[in-house]
Amino acid sequence: MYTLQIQKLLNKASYLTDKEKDKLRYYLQAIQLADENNDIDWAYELRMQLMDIEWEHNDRRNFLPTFSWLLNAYDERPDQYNPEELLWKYKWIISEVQSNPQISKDQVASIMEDFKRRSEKEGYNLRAYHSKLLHEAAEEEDVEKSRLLQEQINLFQRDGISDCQACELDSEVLIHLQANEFDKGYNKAQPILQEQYTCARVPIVTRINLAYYALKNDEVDIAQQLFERIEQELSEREEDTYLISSIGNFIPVVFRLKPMAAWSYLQQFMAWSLDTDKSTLFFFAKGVVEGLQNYQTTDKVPLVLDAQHPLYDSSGKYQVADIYQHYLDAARKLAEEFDIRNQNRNFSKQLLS
Amino acid sequence: MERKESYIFQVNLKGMISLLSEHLYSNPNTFVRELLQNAVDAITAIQHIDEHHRGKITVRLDSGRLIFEDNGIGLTEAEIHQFIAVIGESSKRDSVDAQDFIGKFGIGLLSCFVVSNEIVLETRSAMNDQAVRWVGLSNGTYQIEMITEERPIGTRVILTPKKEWVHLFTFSSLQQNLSYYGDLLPIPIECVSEDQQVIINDATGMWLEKQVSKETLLQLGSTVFHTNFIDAFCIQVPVGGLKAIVYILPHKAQFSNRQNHKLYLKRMFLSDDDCRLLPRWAFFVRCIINTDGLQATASRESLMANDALKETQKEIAEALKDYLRNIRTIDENIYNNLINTHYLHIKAIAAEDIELLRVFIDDLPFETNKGVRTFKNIKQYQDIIYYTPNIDDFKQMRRIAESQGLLVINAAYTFEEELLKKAQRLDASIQVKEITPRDILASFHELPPEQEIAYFTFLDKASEVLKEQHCEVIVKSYAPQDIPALYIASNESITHSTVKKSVDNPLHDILGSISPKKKTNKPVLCLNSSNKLINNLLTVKDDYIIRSVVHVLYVQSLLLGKYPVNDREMMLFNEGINNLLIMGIDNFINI
Repeated sequence: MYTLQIQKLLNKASYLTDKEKDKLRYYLQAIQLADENNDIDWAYELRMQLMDIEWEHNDRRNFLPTFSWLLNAYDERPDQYNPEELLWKYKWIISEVQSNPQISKDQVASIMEDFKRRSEKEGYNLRAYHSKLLHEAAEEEDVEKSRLLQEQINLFQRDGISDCQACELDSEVLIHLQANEFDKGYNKAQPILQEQYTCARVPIVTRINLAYYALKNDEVDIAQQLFERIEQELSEREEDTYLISSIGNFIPVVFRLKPMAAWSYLQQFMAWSLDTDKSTLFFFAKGVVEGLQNYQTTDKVPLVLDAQHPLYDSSGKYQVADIYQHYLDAARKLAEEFDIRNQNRNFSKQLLS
Repeated sequence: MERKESYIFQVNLKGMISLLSEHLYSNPNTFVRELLQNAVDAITAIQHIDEHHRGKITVRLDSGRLIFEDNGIGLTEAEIHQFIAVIGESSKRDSVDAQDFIGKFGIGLLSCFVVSNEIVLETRSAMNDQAVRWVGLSNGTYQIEMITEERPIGTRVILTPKKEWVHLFTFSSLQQNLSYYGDLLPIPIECVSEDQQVIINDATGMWLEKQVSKETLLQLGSTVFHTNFIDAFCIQVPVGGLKAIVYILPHKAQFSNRQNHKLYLKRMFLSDDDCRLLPRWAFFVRCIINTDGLQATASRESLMANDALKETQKEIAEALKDYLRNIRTIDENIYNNLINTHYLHIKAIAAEDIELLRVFIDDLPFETNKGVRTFKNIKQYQDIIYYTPNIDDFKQMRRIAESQGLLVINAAYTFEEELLKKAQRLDASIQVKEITPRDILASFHELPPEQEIAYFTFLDKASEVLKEQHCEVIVKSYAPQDIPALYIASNESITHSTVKKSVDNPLHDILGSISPKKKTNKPVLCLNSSNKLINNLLTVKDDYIIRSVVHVLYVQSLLLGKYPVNDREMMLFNEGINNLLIMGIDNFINI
């Protein structure tokens, strides 16, 4: 009886895209039914799917508890489930905990250790493990650490839990860009720019990063070319709020190269940034601060903001200084939280530069 | 040192023609559109020289062949070599009047090779008296010859169908396709066969040239879309050179289904899709759109995504919102009809546009435990507007809330909760509050102490019986009296149950530390002291009977609350009734 009810819920959910919140609701109801009937296999499968759907959202409130349940269920009957699928989800969880400064350094380390142990136990190498560490180092702009980790990554062959080639190459490009080696980064990025390697994030993320660093290196023509492609891609992904995690560096670029269009982009991204994780919010806020720093702060701009936004004003007009200050405060506060957690000044340093 | 030779890539012309003609276009009828486009552009070109020139396109079927004729500017022999015979070359692209032409890619004529192995093009240019015949073959070769007889200025394309496409060369098919692509063109198109003759495009495009009445627009909508729409209105967007008729659907539309529209570029049909011109919430409209300022992609089946398109999208969204803002003042009947039919879409728009929310909120309908009511009516009913975002809670609370005189909105649908919260921001005097079954439980009357004491022993025994279900048993007094017990689920999240904690799970500590633990409540079975059956229970002393009755009450209240009942619970329920039957206690067999 309950399986029929679950199937009815899944059938309703199948008419919705992963972006629609109602799809999550149907899955949560289905999981409740599976739980209430002690059907662990259904509950496992539905939770895996719930994570796939939630991955498309900025607000991933069920992510950690869902995965914790999956780990428990997996450990109870390890032969019953696919370890590769679980380890892939584990990689998402690592990103999630790295992006949350409330989770202590020790806790993150113990999760990394557990991931490492499980990867090796299931016969996978440590390429994916080092990639996750590299991601963290890149967010901290710790170039030296990133280079060491890249060397570690290169020691292992690609396997079933490695990041895709596009993402791996994008990470390598970013190391060059952060190390002030724009030309090397640009050359390295060619297979991505030629779209030999693509995935959900790449090439748009690579183009955004390259355009940002191109402007820092006075390569305005290259930045302009990249910018045109970014705009095209963004126009095709207007509802892809997932992109917010990579949009921070785009904001200073658009304010420099196409200021007339910049406010409309900012309005769109401010809405996307509402439910996002703290690391994404930090990079977004940092981007806004950099984008607005050369603007007349007394100017008022018309923006349609969601009433949930802390800056929301029913007049629909916003003073540039207020927007700037709001995001500067947010970026400083978040940098402080991350630095306390990481026991360094790597986030704050990025704001100062 | 040896001199390096430069070489030029060789192109397999036959393969190229096949590639472009058969794979670029998704529909074999495309050749009709491409021929119409070339004819219109040729006539536009001659009108640049002679503005009084009256263009005409004639499409004739003659012994199975198609003769497509226009009185446009025609081509000279040199132009044929330059433009017709070179794939990708177009006379229109670099012209100073390029913006007036529809085509520009120099590949349109190739679409004729989809349906015919040979293209015969006879043309006389307005620039000289010599008519020329060009014969192109799908193997990539062509011949050219002079026509000795005198010909009028213009171009004639003659196609003989491939066997498999003969059905496209019938009068009815041709008439249908010419109308599909060209019904809005300003140049008359005549379709002729040995025994039939019709003008394709009579008055369809009238609305583009002058103001027409709403009745005319609705009549046109009915002809084009076979639908009697609620309303129709025109919008204009200068940036995309766009004019459109917007029709309001007379029936509810699904959010997931995109509507078909008619999108024209320079009055030539482009697509059934809106090509992202319409905002994503505009599922309740169908449009006839013509744009002169936007650009098509090479396949001519959609619009290029550029700044002009973006700007046009925005303007269209604003125009639609303007209509919604003003329609109440213009026509109250249409406004009411619009709300009754499309309230879901209006809610979607209002959720993102506070100004529109202000316009519509009072009249928007919400599902409540007292039936569907407008927001205005709900506001008037009680000071606090209660809602639940959970459909199961709503189902459970519906009857109880009713008996308590409470009105609760079912806000489980998309947008409802968001709208209610935004409505509160619009008007500070409105209080919106989420309510759960547990809140209603809290509102039930406590028993007077002396009555409560009477229940103590029974409640202890009952709680012991439901220990396995982790359920607490309490007693209160509430209406309606015919409900003996209510089950209120635990507020535990989905993630706290069913599997044993793994010692190797490093997330346990984190889950405790990242967010303050919500206080979780045990599920509760709340007995109703106002119910006769519950009152009678006080007289029962036999533990065996109490056990059976409590199990029956427990499962009955699960069923009443629409909670799932598992095998174990069903077994307890059946056993309970069975026990009571066996014991022959008449008072309980009617539970």
